[in-house]
Amino acid sequence: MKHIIILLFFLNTNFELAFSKEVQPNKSEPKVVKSENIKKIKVHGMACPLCQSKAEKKFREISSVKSVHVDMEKMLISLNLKEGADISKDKILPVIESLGLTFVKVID
Amino acid sequence: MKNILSIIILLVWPFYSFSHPSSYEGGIDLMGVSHEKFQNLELVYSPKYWLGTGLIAERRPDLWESTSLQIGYLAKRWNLPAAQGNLYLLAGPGYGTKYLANEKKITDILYRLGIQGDFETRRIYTFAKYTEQRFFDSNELINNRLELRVGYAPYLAEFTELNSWLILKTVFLRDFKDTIYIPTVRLFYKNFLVEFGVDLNGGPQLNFMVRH
Repeated sequence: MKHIIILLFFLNTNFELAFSKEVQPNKSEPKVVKSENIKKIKVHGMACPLCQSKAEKKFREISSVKSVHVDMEKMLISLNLKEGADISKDKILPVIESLGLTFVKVID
Repeated sequence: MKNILSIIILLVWPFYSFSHPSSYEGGIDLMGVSHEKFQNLELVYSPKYWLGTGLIAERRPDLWESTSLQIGYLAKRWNLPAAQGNLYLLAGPGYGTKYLANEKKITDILYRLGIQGDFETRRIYTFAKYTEQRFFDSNELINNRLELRVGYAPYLAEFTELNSWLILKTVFLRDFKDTIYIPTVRLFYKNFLVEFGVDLNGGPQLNFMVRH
């Protein structure tokens, strides 16, 4: 009986040590997952690569926009926004209008 | 001076091929046409996507030459899911010369009028444009021109990839007395463009462009 108690105590201690190693976060390298801040705009009327270039140029001029990608196949303009930034439909519409395109919807 | 002008026209000629009388808001386009029977140089600023203000210098050697202002108004645009159609009205005043027989010529104020329509998808391109210039006082015709184009892209490409088009241009000049057919191959990559064409009389065309 004495041996069983000693064995159980020994095993318990080892389990605690093993478990604590597993769950303890590494304080020197905190694990942070960042998600990209992307807003997609569906448009109509983009028929040539020059439209693509113009759209990229115009949206890049907006301060909250980090980068722009235009998918001609899906007629989507993807805005990669700066961290914490947002862009409203009111800000998007004049740009689409200035390009002579038709706004369809914003896909978040 | 003539040679310098010819080089400039040759350099900017491809702009004309895919430009509209107005572009996007704040856009500036330099366009040109270089052919033995028709030369054109056009600078257009678009304060709005539906309005283009242009300065045009054009001529047909030994027959006429003119410099004029042009307002290009986008009367109607059709934005479809994968296509766009446009209808433009063109008008403006100018100053020009018409050369007559026996070294006589008429120089006077003129007006220009025109209409342009196009419809394009990423594969198909169609275009029609009619313009004419007349002296303001006498209403006498200086020149008119109708151009039709139909083009096909054998494959789809992005702006950052090599784009290719096969285009047949048909140009009617001098009240439809002259007709020119120009099969053309157009290649462009980003802001660099090169265009090869030969009309049916064997007149070669080599055009290129760097857009800033």
